[in-house]
Amino acid sequence: MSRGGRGGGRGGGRGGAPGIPMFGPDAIQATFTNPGETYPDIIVPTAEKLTTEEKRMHLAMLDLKNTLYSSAYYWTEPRKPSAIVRYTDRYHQDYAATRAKLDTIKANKAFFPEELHSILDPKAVKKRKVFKRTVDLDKINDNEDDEEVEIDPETGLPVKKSGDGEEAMEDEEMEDEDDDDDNDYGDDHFDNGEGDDDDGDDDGNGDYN
Amino acid sequence: MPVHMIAKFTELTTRQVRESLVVLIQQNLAVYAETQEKTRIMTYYEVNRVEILHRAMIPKVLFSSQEWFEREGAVVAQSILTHGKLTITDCIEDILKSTGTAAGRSATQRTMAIKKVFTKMVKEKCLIAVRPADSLTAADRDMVEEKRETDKLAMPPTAAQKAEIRRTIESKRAGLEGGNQIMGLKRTLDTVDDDDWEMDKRRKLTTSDVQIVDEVEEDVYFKINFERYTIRWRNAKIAEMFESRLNLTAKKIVETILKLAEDRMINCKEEHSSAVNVMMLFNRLPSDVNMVGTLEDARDSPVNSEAGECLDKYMDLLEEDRLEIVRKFQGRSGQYTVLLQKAAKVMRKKLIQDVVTSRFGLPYVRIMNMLLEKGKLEEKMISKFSMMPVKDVREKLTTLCTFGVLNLQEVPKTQERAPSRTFYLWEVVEDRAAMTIVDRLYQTMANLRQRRFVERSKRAVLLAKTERTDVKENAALLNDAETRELDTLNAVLEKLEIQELRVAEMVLVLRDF
Repeated sequence: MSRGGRGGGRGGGRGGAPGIPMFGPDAIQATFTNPGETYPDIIVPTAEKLTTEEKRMHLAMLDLKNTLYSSAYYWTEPRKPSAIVRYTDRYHQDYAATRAKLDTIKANKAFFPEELHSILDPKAVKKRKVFKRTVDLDKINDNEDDEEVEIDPETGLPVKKSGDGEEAMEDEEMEDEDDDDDNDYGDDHFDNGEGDDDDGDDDGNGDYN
Repeated sequence: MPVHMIAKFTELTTRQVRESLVVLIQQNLAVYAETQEKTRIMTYYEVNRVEILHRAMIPKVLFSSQEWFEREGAVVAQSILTHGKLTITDCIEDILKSTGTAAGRSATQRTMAIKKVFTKMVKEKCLIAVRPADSLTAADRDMVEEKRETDKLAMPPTAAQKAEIRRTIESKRAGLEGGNQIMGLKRTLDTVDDDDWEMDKRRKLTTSDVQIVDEVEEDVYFKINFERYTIRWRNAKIAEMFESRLNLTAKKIVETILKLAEDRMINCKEEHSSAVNVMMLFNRLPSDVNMVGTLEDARDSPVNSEAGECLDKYMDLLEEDRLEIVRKFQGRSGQYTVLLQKAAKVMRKKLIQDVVTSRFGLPYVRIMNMLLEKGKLEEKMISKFSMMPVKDVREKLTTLCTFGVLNLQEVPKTQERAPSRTFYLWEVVEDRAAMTIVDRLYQTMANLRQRRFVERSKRAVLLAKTERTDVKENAALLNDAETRELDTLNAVLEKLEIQELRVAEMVLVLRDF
């Protein structure tokens, strides 16, 4: 992309037809022979006065902001008790404690992915989908392309039909206890048996082939 | 990015990230995509940039909702902006809970009034229906649609078939957006409020007793359609342009033309509006428009004609205007159209000139206008046409180029590309200049926002005091100095926020119109 104002890249176009260098440090010297004062007086432009309409817009926005700040959508950290107890602490309110929770908002779960449903409805029983791999040796040579896979239009994922296939999906219904806690121990340390698929292959001596 | 990656980069807990994502998806600011990776389903989240950038215009959306749909419209808009998306039932419930009912009005009356306004906003497309599929990323939605179409074929699709499928999907989407059928609105039969029928309910209903009414579906979610607001603001700006060029009556006429054509407008990037008949225009002009006596003939004496003739003369004047924005539709007399993209280009050019004038001064604008008119010019030619010395011209050209408004095109005379044997042509590329100025405007908005935070943080102790429950109940607990400081802070914040809104309006003109 051609651009102007390059500094010194082309050697300043020396010996140019008009006799004045176009680019480079010489060009800057030739152009700005009188740099002027170090800190010249600047006339700071002032903005136009606010109109009545703009003031009304501002008030409407303030109203919306106040509504949002007191709603469940605005997240704040809970107020931590300080080391020093002061008399005025009784007047400082903990907004996080008084604010409504997210599970009270009017939301349709269809708009959210499954992993966020527990936030909207903590009491709902969470279905954990566990994919188990079972290999059917009789059908191992069958043409896989014969099987039709339906796609769920909403999520874009293949809808697996249950049957004697290579993979079968089992739904396990279990109480979702992890999300009742505020900590993330379950997410950080618990893998729900997904890492147990290699149990059969695990050999204490290792495979040194 | 999945949840655990977001938590890693933001240093928040996964629960906090999930809660934030719920809020963002509810407010239409984020979308997601689910994919199956080995044995797990992974969910990836992405930000919806367009919706985030639109949020800078929320104050104007609230104000415009009140102007177009009165008080109830503003309340509906505020409720929907608070919750992101709502059904009509949830919206009415939220409004009644937050604002209650006015004196002398029952809850039923208020409910009917809100329902009426909500339906009107949906019919005029200021509210748009949201489907669960809109929470998916655009690429995912397209892939799902493509997969559904290709599954119907017996053989794997060829490149031509894939292109055809993509065109079909695109036209379906355009049909949904631009069609007469509005998603979320259904037609039902309702009885006419007729006293005769009410008195004698034994008689059978006839066709004159029932009417078709539009009703909003109760289980459909709606959100604010920023595109429609942008279209209306653009139309208002086009009409204002004619007020400054001609007079108030011309503005009203152009306003009416655009209002009649607005129903068929889908987005701001259309070339021209649909055709408007002069007879329809005459019937739909506001009653306060005064055409008779506002025109003068060539001898400067007032023209006293009938209103219809005055309208024809006004249409001729608008067509002869140098901007050439109002034209006859396909050469047919009696039908006119407004060239929307041309009008937007004029507004963009004017704004760029104003920005350069305020920043650098008139000589710089003179050079820019010359290049806009003549195309690509060499330095010597610019100096000759602008009657300025070459040294001054060079300095100004370099300044404008650094600012981002000018471009330099090299045209080498020989293969060696020696600078002495190369033409250097300066030009203004309007689109690129507009985008450069948009970047600078966003930096300005960021500076204004930062200044707001700084002003608040300077008075953090005072603000913490005002948040106290005892001070909220009794404002007299603040002394005079604190009250003055608070008033100063509120005035400063008001100015900064309104400046931000003005800058956002400029971005709208340069980018969205």
